[in-house]
Amino acid sequence: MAQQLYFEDVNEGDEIPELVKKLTKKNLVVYAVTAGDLYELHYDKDTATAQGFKDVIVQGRLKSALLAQAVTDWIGDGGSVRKLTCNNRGADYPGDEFTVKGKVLKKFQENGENLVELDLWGENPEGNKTTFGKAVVALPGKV
Amino acid sequence: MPEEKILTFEEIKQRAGEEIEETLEVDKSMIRNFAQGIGDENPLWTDEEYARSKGYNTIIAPPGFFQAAVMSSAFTRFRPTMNIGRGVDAGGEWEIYEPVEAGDVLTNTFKFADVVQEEGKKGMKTFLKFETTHVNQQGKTVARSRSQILKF
Repeated sequence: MAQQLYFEDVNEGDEIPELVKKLTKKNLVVYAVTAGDLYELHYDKDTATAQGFKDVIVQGRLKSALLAQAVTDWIGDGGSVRKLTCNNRGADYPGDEFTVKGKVLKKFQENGENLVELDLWGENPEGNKTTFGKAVVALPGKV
Repeated sequence: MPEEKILTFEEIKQRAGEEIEETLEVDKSMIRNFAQGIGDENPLWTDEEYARSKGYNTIIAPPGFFQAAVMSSAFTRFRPTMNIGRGVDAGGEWEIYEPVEAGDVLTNTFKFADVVQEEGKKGMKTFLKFETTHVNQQGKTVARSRSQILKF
Protein backbone atom coordinates (compact mmCIF):
# COMPACT_ATOMS: atom_id res chain seq x y z
CA MET A 1 0.00 0.00 0.00
CA ALA A 2 2.56 2.43 -1.19
CA GLN A 3 1.85 6.13 -1.17
CA GLN A 4 0.84 7.50 -4.57
CA LEU A 5 3.60 9.10 -6.61
CA TYR A 6 2.70 11.89 -9.04
CA PHE A 7 4.48 12.89 -12.23
CA GLU A 8 5.08 16.38 -10.84
CA ASP A 9 6.98 14.91 -7.87
CA VAL A 10 9.61 13.26 -10.07
CA ASN A 11 12.82 14.90 -11.24
CA GLU A 12 15.49 13.59 -13.56
CA GLY A 13 18.38 12.27 -11.50
CA ASP A 14 16.15 11.35 -8.52
CA GLU A 15 17.02 8.11 -6.79
CA ILE A 16 14.19 5.75 -5.95
CA PRO A 17 13.97 4.25 -2.44
CA GLU A 18 16.23 1.24 -2.02
CA LEU A 19 14.58 -2.15 -1.72
CA VAL A 20 16.59 -4.50 0.47
CA LYS A 21 15.68 -8.17 0.11
CA LYS A 22 16.97 -11.26 1.82
CA LEU A 23 15.56 -14.27 0.01
CA THR A 24 15.33 -17.70 1.58
CA LYS A 25 15.70 -21.02 -0.21
CA LYS A 26 11.96 -21.35 0.29
CA ASN A 27 11.47 -18.23 -1.85
CA LEU A 28 13.58 -19.82 -4.60
CA VAL A 29 11.61 -23.07 -4.52
CA VAL A 30 8.22 -21.34 -4.56
CA TYR A 31 9.44 -19.15 -7.43
CA ALA A 32 10.81 -22.16 -9.35
CA VAL A 33 7.49 -23.98 -9.19
CA THR A 34 5.30 -20.95 -9.90
CA ALA A 35 7.46 -19.45 -12.61
CA GLY A 36 7.79 -22.86 -14.24
CA ASP A 37 11.56 -23.10 -14.25
CA LEU A 38 12.72 -26.26 -12.51
CA TYR A 39 16.44 -25.94 -13.24
CA GLU A 40 18.17 -27.71 -10.30
CA LEU A 41 20.81 -24.98 -10.01
CA HIS A 42 18.27 -23.03 -7.96
CA TYR A 43 17.37 -25.67 -5.35
CA ASP A 44 19.91 -28.52 -5.46
CA LYS A 45 23.24 -27.68 -3.85
CA ASP A 46 25.06 -30.60 -5.55
CA THR A 47 24.14 -29.23 -8.96
CA ALA A 48 25.28 -25.76 -7.89
CA THR A 49 28.64 -26.85 -6.44
CA ALA A 50 29.32 -29.05 -9.49
CA GLN A 51 29.08 -25.82 -11.51
CA GLY A 52 31.49 -24.01 -9.20
CA PHE A 53 28.98 -22.09 -7.08
CA LYS A 54 29.19 -22.19 -3.27
CA ASP A 55 25.43 -22.77 -2.98
CA VAL A 56 22.24 -22.62 -5.03
CA ILE A 57 21.88 -19.28 -6.80
CA VAL A 58 18.92 -16.95 -7.12
CA GLN A 59 17.07 -17.16 -10.44
CA GLY A 60 17.97 -14.26 -12.72
CA ARG A 61 14.33 -13.59 -13.50
CA LEU A 62 13.46 -13.60 -9.80
CA LYS A 63 15.97 -10.78 -9.40
CA SER A 64 14.32 -8.98 -12.33
CA ALA A 65 11.01 -9.31 -10.48
CA LEU A 66 12.67 -7.63 -7.46
CA LEU A 67 13.82 -4.77 -9.69
CA ALA A 68 10.17 -4.48 -10.76
CA GLN A 69 9.03 -4.59 -7.12
CA ALA A 70 11.27 -1.64 -6.24
CA VAL A 71 9.44 0.22 -9.00
CA THR A 72 5.89 -0.75 -8.02
CA ASP A 73 6.70 0.07 -4.36
CA TRP A 74 7.86 3.50 -5.50
CA ILE A 75 5.10 4.43 -7.97
CA GLY A 76 2.09 3.32 -5.89
CA ASP A 77 -1.10 1.67 -7.08
CA GLY A 78 -2.09 4.47 -9.45
CA GLY A 79 1.06 4.13 -11.53
CA SER A 80 1.81 1.32 -13.93
CA VAL A 81 4.89 -0.32 -15.35
CA ARG A 82 4.89 -0.05 -19.15
CA LYS A 83 8.28 -1.45 -19.99
CA LEU A 84 10.96 -3.56 -18.31
CA THR A 85 14.33 -4.74 -19.42
CA CYS A 86 16.59 -7.15 -17.61
CA ASN A 87 20.11 -8.38 -17.84
CA ASN A 88 21.66 -10.70 -15.30
CA ARG A 89 25.46 -10.59 -14.95
CA GLY A 90 26.38 -12.32 -11.71
CA ALA A 91 25.37 -14.90 -9.12
CA ASP A 92 23.48 -14.04 -5.93
CA TYR A 93 22.81 -16.39 -3.05
CA PRO A 94 19.79 -16.91 -0.80
CA GLY A 95 20.48 -15.53 2.67
CA ASP A 96 22.50 -12.63 1.27
CA GLU A 97 21.13 -9.13 1.13
CA PHE A 98 20.23 -8.07 -2.38
CA THR A 99 19.68 -4.32 -2.70
CA VAL A 100 17.73 -2.84 -5.57
CA LYS A 101 18.54 0.74 -6.49
CA GLY A 102 17.29 2.99 -9.23
CA LYS A 103 17.64 6.42 -10.75
CA VAL A 104 15.35 8.53 -12.92
CA LEU A 105 16.84 8.95 -16.39
CA LYS A 106 14.17 11.12 -17.93
CA LYS A 107 10.54 12.19 -17.73
CA PHE A 108 8.47 12.84 -20.80
CA GLN A 109 4.94 12.83 -22.21
CA GLU A 110 3.83 10.57 -25.02
CA ASN A 111 0.32 9.85 -26.36
CA GLY A 112 -1.13 11.81 -23.47
CA GLU A 113 0.68 9.76 -20.84
CA ASN A 114 3.14 10.94 -18.19
CA LEU A 115 6.13 8.65 -18.52
CA VAL A 116 9.30 8.21 -16.49
CA GLU A 117 12.29 6.16 -17.56
CA LEU A 118 14.50 4.61 -14.91
CA ASP A 119 17.80 2.87 -14.64
CA LEU A 120 17.68 -0.07 -12.20
CA TRP A 121 20.25 -2.38 -10.74
CA GLY A 122 20.72 -4.92 -7.97
CA GLU A 123 23.77 -5.08 -5.71
CA ASN A 124 25.19 -7.96 -3.71
CA PRO A 125 26.48 -7.47 -0.10
CA GLU A 126 29.90 -6.40 -1.46
CA GLY A 127 28.22 -3.61 -3.41
CA ASN A 128 28.87 -5.21 -6.80
CA LYS A 129 26.15 -4.82 -9.40
CA THR A 130 24.94 -8.24 -10.47
CA THR A 131 21.64 -7.40 -12.16
CA PHE A 132 20.73 -4.60 -14.51
CA GLY A 133 17.47 -3.30 -15.87
CA LYS A 134 15.45 -0.37 -17.03
CA ALA A 135 11.82 0.52 -16.65
CA VAL A 136 9.35 2.95 -18.11
CA VAL A 137 6.40 3.79 -15.87
CA ALA A 138 3.22 5.78 -16.41
CA LEU A 139 2.24 8.10 -13.56
CA PRO A 140 -0.87 10.10 -12.75
CA GLY A 141 -0.60 13.87 -12.77
CA LYS A 142 -1.85 16.13 -9.98
CA VAL A 143 -4.24 17.95 -12.31
CA MET B 1 20.94 -42.55 -27.21
CA PRO B 2 23.11 -41.27 -30.04
CA GLU B 3 24.73 -37.92 -29.43
CA GLU B 4 22.51 -35.29 -30.94
CA LYS B 5 24.24 -33.11 -33.44
CA ILE B 6 24.66 -29.44 -32.58
CA LEU B 7 23.02 -27.36 -35.29
CA THR B 8 25.16 -25.13 -37.46
CA PHE B 9 24.48 -21.41 -37.80
CA GLU B 10 22.90 -22.02 -41.22
CA GLU B 11 20.67 -24.80 -39.88
CA ILE B 12 19.48 -22.57 -37.03
CA LYS B 13 18.94 -19.67 -39.43
CA GLN B 14 16.62 -21.81 -41.59
CA ARG B 15 14.20 -22.04 -38.67
CA ALA B 16 13.77 -18.29 -38.23
CA GLY B 17 10.10 -17.41 -38.14
CA GLU B 18 8.90 -20.60 -36.40
CA GLU B 19 6.21 -20.12 -33.76
CA ILE B 20 4.85 -22.16 -30.86
CA GLU B 21 1.53 -21.32 -29.24
CA GLU B 22 0.42 -22.18 -25.70
CA THR B 23 -2.54 -21.42 -23.49
CA LEU B 24 -1.93 -20.30 -19.92
CA GLU B 25 -4.71 -20.00 -17.38
CA VAL B 26 -3.64 -17.55 -14.71
CA ASP B 27 -5.44 -18.26 -11.46
CA LYS B 28 -5.36 -16.65 -8.02
CA SER B 29 -3.01 -19.24 -6.54
CA MET B 30 -0.50 -18.73 -9.32
CA ILE B 31 -0.39 -14.98 -8.68
CA ARG B 32 -0.31 -15.34 -4.88
CA ASN B 33 2.43 -17.97 -5.06
CA PHE B 34 4.43 -15.81 -7.41
CA ALA B 35 4.16 -12.88 -4.98
CA GLN B 36 5.20 -15.17 -2.13
CA GLY B 37 8.15 -16.48 -4.16
CA ILE B 38 9.54 -13.00 -4.73
CA GLY B 39 8.55 -11.87 -1.23
CA ASP B 40 6.40 -8.96 -2.41
CA GLU B 41 3.65 -8.07 0.07
CA ASN B 42 1.76 -5.56 -2.08
CA PRO B 43 -1.97 -6.39 -1.52
CA LEU B 44 -2.72 -5.77 -5.22
CA TRP B 45 -1.25 -9.24 -5.85
CA THR B 46 -3.01 -11.02 -2.97
CA ASP B 47 -6.08 -9.24 -1.60
CA GLU B 48 -9.16 -9.27 -3.85
CA GLU B 49 -11.06 -6.62 -1.94
CA TYR B 50 -8.09 -4.29 -2.03
CA ALA B 51 -7.57 -4.85 -5.77
CA ARG B 52 -11.27 -4.14 -6.41
CA SER B 53 -10.98 -0.88 -4.45
CA LYS B 54 -8.31 0.10 -6.99
CA GLY B 55 -10.57 -0.55 -9.97
CA TYR B 56 -9.58 -4.10 -10.88
CA ASN B 57 -11.98 -7.06 -11.01
CA THR B 58 -9.72 -9.16 -8.81
CA ILE B 59 -6.04 -9.51 -7.93
CA ILE B 60 -3.52 -8.73 -10.66
CA ALA B 61 -0.09 -10.15 -11.43
CA PRO B 62 3.00 -8.09 -10.54
CA PRO B 63 5.05 -6.89 -13.53
CA GLY B 64 7.82 -9.41 -12.81
CA PHE B 65 5.34 -12.17 -13.64
CA PHE B 66 5.67 -11.35 -17.35
CA GLN B 67 9.34 -12.34 -17.13
CA ALA B 68 8.65 -15.74 -15.56
CA ALA B 69 9.59 -18.78 -17.63
CA VAL B 70 5.98 -20.00 -17.70
CA MET B 71 5.04 -16.77 -19.48
CA SER B 72 7.85 -15.85 -21.79
CA SER B 73 10.91 -18.11 -21.75
CA ALA B 74 10.84 -18.79 -25.48
CA PHE B 75 14.07 -20.76 -25.81
CA THR B 76 12.86 -23.44 -23.38
CA ARG B 77 10.04 -24.12 -25.87
CA PHE B 78 12.42 -24.50 -28.83
CA ARG B 79 15.32 -26.19 -27.04
CA PRO B 80 13.98 -29.79 -27.29
CA THR B 81 14.14 -29.59 -31.10
CA MET B 82 16.89 -27.01 -31.44
CA ASN B 83 20.22 -28.24 -30.12
CA ILE B 84 22.55 -25.24 -30.09
CA GLY B 85 24.99 -26.61 -27.51
CA ARG B 86 25.42 -24.23 -24.59
CA GLY B 87 23.30 -21.13 -24.37
CA VAL B 88 22.80 -18.49 -21.70
CA ASP B 89 20.10 -15.93 -21.10
CA ALA B 90 21.34 -12.64 -22.51
CA GLY B 91 18.50 -10.45 -21.27
CA GLY B 92 15.31 -9.12 -22.71
CA GLU B 93 12.76 -6.39 -22.94
CA TRP B 94 9.08 -6.50 -21.99
CA GLU B 95 6.35 -4.12 -23.04
CA ILE B 96 3.28 -4.28 -20.82
CA TYR B 97 -0.01 -2.87 -22.15
CA GLU B 98 -2.65 -4.27 -19.80
CA PRO B 99 -2.59 -5.87 -16.37
CA VAL B 100 -3.12 -9.62 -16.12
CA GLU B 101 -5.94 -10.42 -13.69
CA ALA B 102 -6.59 -13.72 -11.96
CA GLY B 103 -8.89 -15.76 -14.20
CA ASP B 104 -7.33 -14.52 -17.42
CA VAL B 105 -6.70 -17.13 -20.09
CA LEU B 106 -3.70 -16.07 -22.10
CA THR B 107 -2.66 -17.21 -25.53
CA ASN B 108 1.12 -17.01 -25.50
CA THR B 109 2.97 -17.13 -28.79
CA PHE B 110 6.69 -17.90 -28.79
CA LYS B 111 8.58 -16.97 -31.92
CA PHE B 112 12.13 -17.79 -32.91
CA ALA B 113 12.77 -14.54 -34.75
CA ASP B 114 16.36 -14.78 -35.95
CA VAL B 115 19.93 -15.77 -35.28
CA VAL B 116 22.65 -13.17 -35.74
CA GLN B 117 26.41 -13.00 -35.35
CA GLU B 118 28.02 -9.93 -33.87
CA GLU B 119 31.66 -9.01 -33.46
CA GLY B 120 32.44 -9.03 -29.74
CA LYS B 121 35.60 -8.16 -27.81
CA LYS B 122 36.59 -11.82 -27.72
CA GLY B 123 35.58 -12.76 -31.25
CA MET B 124 32.31 -13.51 -32.96
CA LYS B 125 29.22 -13.93 -30.78
CA THR B 126 26.05 -15.72 -31.83
CA PHE B 127 22.70 -14.50 -30.50
CA LEU B 128 19.36 -16.24 -30.94
CA LYS B 129 16.51 -13.73 -30.89
CA PHE B 130 13.06 -14.60 -29.62
CA GLU B 131 9.77 -12.73 -29.40
CA THR B 132 6.65 -13.48 -27.41
CA THR B 133 3.12 -12.11 -27.57
CA HIS B 134 0.50 -12.49 -24.84
CA VAL B 135 -3.17 -12.09 -25.72
CA ASN B 136 -5.98 -12.39 -23.17
CA GLN B 137 -9.43 -13.99 -23.59
CA GLN B 138 -10.85 -10.67 -24.76
CA GLY B 139 -8.40 -10.57 -27.64
CA LYS B 140 -6.34 -7.77 -26.06
CA THR B 141 -2.58 -7.97 -26.37
CA VAL B 142 -1.45 -7.59 -22.76
CA ALA B 143 2.30 -7.77 -23.32
CA ARG B 144 5.11 -8.50 -25.75
CA SER B 145 8.70 -9.44 -25.16
CA ARG B 146 11.97 -9.64 -27.04
CA SER B 147 14.77 -11.67 -25.55
CA GLN B 148 18.03 -13.24 -26.58
CA ILE B 149 20.13 -16.28 -25.88
CA LEU B 150 23.90 -16.13 -26.29
CA LYS B 151 25.22 -19.31 -27.86
CA PHE B 152 28.65 -20.59 -26.81
